[in-house]
Amino acid sequence: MNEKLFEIKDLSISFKKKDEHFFAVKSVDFDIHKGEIVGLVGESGCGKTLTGLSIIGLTPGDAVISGQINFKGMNLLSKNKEERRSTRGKSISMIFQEPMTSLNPLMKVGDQIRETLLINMRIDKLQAKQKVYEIMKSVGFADVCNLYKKYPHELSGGMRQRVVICIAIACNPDLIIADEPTTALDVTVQAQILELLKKINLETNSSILFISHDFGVIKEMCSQVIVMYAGYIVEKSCIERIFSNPIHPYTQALLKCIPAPEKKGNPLFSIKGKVPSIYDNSEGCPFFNRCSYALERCRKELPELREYEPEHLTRCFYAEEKNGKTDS
Amino acid sequence: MKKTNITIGAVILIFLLAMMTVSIFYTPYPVTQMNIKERFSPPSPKHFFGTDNFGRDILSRVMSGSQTAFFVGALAVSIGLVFGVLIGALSGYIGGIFDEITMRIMDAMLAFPGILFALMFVAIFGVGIKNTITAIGIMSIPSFARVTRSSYLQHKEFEYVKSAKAKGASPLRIIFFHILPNVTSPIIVSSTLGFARAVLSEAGLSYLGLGVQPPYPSWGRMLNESQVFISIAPWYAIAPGVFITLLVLGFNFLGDGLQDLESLK
Amino acid sequence: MEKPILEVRNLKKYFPLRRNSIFSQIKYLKAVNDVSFSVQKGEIFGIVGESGCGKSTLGQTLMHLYKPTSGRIIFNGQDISFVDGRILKELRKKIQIIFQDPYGSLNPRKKIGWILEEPLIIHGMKDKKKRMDKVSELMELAGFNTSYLNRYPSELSGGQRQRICIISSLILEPELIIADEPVSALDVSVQAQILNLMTDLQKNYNLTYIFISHNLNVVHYISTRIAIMYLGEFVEYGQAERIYTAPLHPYTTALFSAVPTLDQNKKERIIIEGELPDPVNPPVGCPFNTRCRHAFERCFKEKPEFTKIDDNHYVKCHLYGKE
Repeated sequence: MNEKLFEIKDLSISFKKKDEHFFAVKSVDFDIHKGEIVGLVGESGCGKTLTGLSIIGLTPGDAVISGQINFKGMNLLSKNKEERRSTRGKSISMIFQEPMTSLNPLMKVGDQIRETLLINMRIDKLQAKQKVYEIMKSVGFADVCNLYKKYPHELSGGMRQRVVICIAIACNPDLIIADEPTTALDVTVQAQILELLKKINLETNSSILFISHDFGVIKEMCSQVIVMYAGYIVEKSCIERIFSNPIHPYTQALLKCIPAPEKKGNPLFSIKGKVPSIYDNSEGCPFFNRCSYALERCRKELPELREYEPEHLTRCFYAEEKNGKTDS
Repeated sequence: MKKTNITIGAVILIFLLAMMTVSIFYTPYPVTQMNIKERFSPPSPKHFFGTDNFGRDILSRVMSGSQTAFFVGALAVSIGLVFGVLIGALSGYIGGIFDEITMRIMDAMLAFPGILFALMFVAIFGVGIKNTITAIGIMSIPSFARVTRSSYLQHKEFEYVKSAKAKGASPLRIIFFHILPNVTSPIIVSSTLGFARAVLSEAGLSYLGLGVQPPYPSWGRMLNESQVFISIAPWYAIAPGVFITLLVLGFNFLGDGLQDLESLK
Repeated sequence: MEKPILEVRNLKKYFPLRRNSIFSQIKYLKAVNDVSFSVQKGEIFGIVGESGCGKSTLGQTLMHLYKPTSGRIIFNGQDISFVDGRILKELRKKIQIIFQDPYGSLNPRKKIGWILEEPLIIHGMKDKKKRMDKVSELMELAGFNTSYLNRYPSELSGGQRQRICIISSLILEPELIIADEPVSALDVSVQAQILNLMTDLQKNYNLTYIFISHNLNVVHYISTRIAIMYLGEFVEYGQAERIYTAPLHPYTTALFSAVPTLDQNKKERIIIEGELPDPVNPPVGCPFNTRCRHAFERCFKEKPEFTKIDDNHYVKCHLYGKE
């Protein structure tokens, strides 16, 4: 296994409202190895975006973060603002979902890519411009000289996202956090972008944390998958096993919901109830009132993450009982 | 920072409103009572703001002047609002040539200096409180029209409007029942700022002698009357000046604060 | 064969663009550029395409939210291409639409009860009790208790709002519903609920749907027949199963291969290079010729016609065309 680049331990993110803390991310543990593409999957409100933001240090000002984010041996959460800022763009970069709003509408796209070079590297403007041309070519842009001078509104969604990717890879970061990078794009453009990301990962060995709600995309891109629900990690596995043997009832249910050719003609499986709100501080398993396999103890106790197969962990009492892993 | 503007504005306005309400029933001295022996008295416990050239108590006159300020302001803004919103809504929603023509008219009205228009109006139709209100009201129409129109331009593309159309709602129904409840905030902000402008305009007109005539009290007219005596009785000019400023400031703070609230949403 | 509930012939919707001066020519954005198809009663007709292909414009033009530039729309045998006024209002009862954005399609300042009653008031149902009965009937169908009538849209979740949108489209008892990306803004688990609701309602009320989406999996799952749209035109249409398993048009094959699936048998992915051409200046000949890897000389000169492969499959491509 490659060297461990990031070690996220017991990460919790909460928001304070009138003296009470409401947790959006709870006790998240996972690792990212060098050159690995890790998928963080879940539906809206599960905490996946916040988790990604906490690694790069862009959480909202009122977020209270606890735990450790160990990068090359140092805990990023113990660093001050300046130190964290120095990692941004250089060691850790981010691709957001909406290319239109993540680019400055008043700045030429080439200059925006160049800016990240000028901030993070010792390089003069002219050299930087040349490097920008190289980067633009590497992502498949033709006619880079003309493209450099264009403004974001003159480009299509796919092209804008490619510019965002240029900015993200400009300084050869160790980790690229991609938050739903293709959700706002057409299917054919999505295919292009996913191919590009795979190519970057292969050529530069940058790790990617791929955040998405789309299992199909995750399957295509990632080697490790983490499923989140209501702020918790409910299942963690290598890519093959999560589809061949999903253990957590939520994962199973989610996979069953997805429309597929063979399901045609029959009602789709749907999960009753809805996702608990952030203000819901009830104990026990967050999936309790929607789970077809819920046991009585699930109401009050929170299951631990346990390993069921090599590299396949899940957090479920029902799974424990089924596999004879109950506490003695 | 977040709510200070609104608070300051509200405090000032509540104070002035209270003063106005009280003045309807009570003033320290009758407004028109003259007392030549006490003319030009400086501010004292007996006359809080002093007396004018006829010995009339300035505080009492200022208090009752607030009635005119609020009354004229409210009515003028109402005229501006009713017609401005109507024009803006129709213009924004219907669009096309109607919109172009209407907006050019509004532009022309905006370009024309307000006070000049009021002067013209008053010159043609005569002075007095009714015409003051009408003139200022007409002057207020374009800004309401613009604000409403831009809201309607935005909202008419929203899906709830398309939904309403798809259900068979007529344009008028959509304009007044569906979109209007959604665009009240900018109109309210315009109203507060419009009120401030109206008060200032009334003061200006009355100062020129073309606005509110006796016996109606007016801060603007007091400013005019006090001018000659400014060296011997400056308090005569200061009192109405301060109150005009306060009222305008109050509405401006409130309007700014509301606008900030809007932009935060 | 039964007469179709909807027949569309050579429909065009062009949007004039602002001219720079009175003397320059008016340019048009050709959003819908000659579309013809028919829909049978009780079927779900899926229209698939990417952004900019004109599918939403097509749906809204069928609804008369846009006036057609030219062409014919025939509903239940009646030509409704250019109706207005009273006839259009009557038509509103028979054809309804569900939009994509559940957050935008409900008036934020009105309670749910008002939103649902409004169409009935517009169409003259004066009896309050009758209106409330109808509203309650539909609320129950969608799984809401009547307390929701007093709530505002902001108090509901995305899935709940979309369910309200769906029943609000049913309140006038339409025959045809145009669903414009009805589940695209929803989470997967909520999406499943909505799709199930739509199929249930279809059975209960004998509805016909035109289901517009960019999500191939969803469209394939729910549709009887599918049409693929590109740059304002249909390029292929036919039975859903057939289109999915044996697509012929180069765009369709690329589209299907581009979708990341959980399918074990992954077909070879065809990456389409380039971008969508400008709909103001569509290419001469076949609209796909700028990006098609099979394009040959004829494709740049002549617009292809629809070729009938069989009753269940039509494709518009010179590769299959007659000489």
